[in-house]
Amino acid sequence: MTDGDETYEEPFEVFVQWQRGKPHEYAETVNATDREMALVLAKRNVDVRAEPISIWVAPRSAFAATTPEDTTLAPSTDREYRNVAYYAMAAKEETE
Amino acid sequence: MSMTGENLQRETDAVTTLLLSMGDDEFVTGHRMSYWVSRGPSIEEDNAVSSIVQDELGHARLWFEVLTERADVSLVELAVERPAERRRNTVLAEPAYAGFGDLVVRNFLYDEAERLLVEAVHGGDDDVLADRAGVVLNEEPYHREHAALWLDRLTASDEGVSRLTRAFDTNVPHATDYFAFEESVASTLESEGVVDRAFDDLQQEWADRVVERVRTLGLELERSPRELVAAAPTTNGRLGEHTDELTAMTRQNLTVY
Repeated sequence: MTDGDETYEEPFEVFVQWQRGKPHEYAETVNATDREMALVLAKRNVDVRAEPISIWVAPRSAFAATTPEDTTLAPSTDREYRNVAYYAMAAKEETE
Repeated sequence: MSMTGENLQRETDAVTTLLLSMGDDEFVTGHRMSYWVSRGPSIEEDNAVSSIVQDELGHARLWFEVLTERADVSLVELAVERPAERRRNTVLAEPAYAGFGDLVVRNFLYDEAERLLVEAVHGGDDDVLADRAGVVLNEEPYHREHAALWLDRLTASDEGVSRLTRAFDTNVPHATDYFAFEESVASTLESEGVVDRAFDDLQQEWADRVVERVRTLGLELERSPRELVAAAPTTNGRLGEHTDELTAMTRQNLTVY
């Protein structure tokens, strides 16, 4: 909703738990004036016929997030030897 | 096309009148509200409103279906072909909307009244109606929540306050027919236990809720809210009295189905 150049809404991220015991998954974004309104809108902007168990909303501005360029997410050296699968692969290569 | 509704004992049977009233309320409200699909303030709101529209049309079907089981009449005859003069909906549902604030106020007035009537049917002795009332009541909290949140938020600006004020001024007088059933119909439904509360009692509770809401919203209406809710309806949809806007709507529906 806008009044001239003024915008009253902000994006809210919506997370849905589809099954009991399973984690809440990111579902979509809704624009809303506040948390309560975001939740009301989210309730009819996710697939309610799939009978979600629970919905969370949070303003996008509340999240701290990484950028795609973030180098601290990628290991700088090869650490494949830390995975069990690595040794299975190595053993297979030896027998061949 | 058959003579729509001819097979209904419509003037004599109180339950038939009640079912037509509740079904027409939902059908006309749902049909009108579909105007907002693609015209809401945001696409998220379009989705929310269209979901409410689907609920209301589904509820119309629930009530009309009971009539198809009890008389030789079809859903299409009841929902689409029946002309305005045989409709029993509240005139609150009839006019085109003056704006989004108008939609919110109309939904508030309607949802509060509907809750009271449908709860009374849910607590009543007609098991078929009571069961279906339970289904309707299940879906209504979202409608009330949606209207309640928007009412509070629209008071955030002067523009919103003036739109809400105008909407209450124009719509409350249209809503006063909601419980104004013909005396013989009301007394039959009460004495036969189809509703578990008297219509006067329901009307009083609705009036109190509306007055209280106008007060908490801080709106200053043209007339006192207490006077507005207590005034007798000038056009009473429960008696088959309707506005030209309903006639136009039912005629248009006949051309497009």
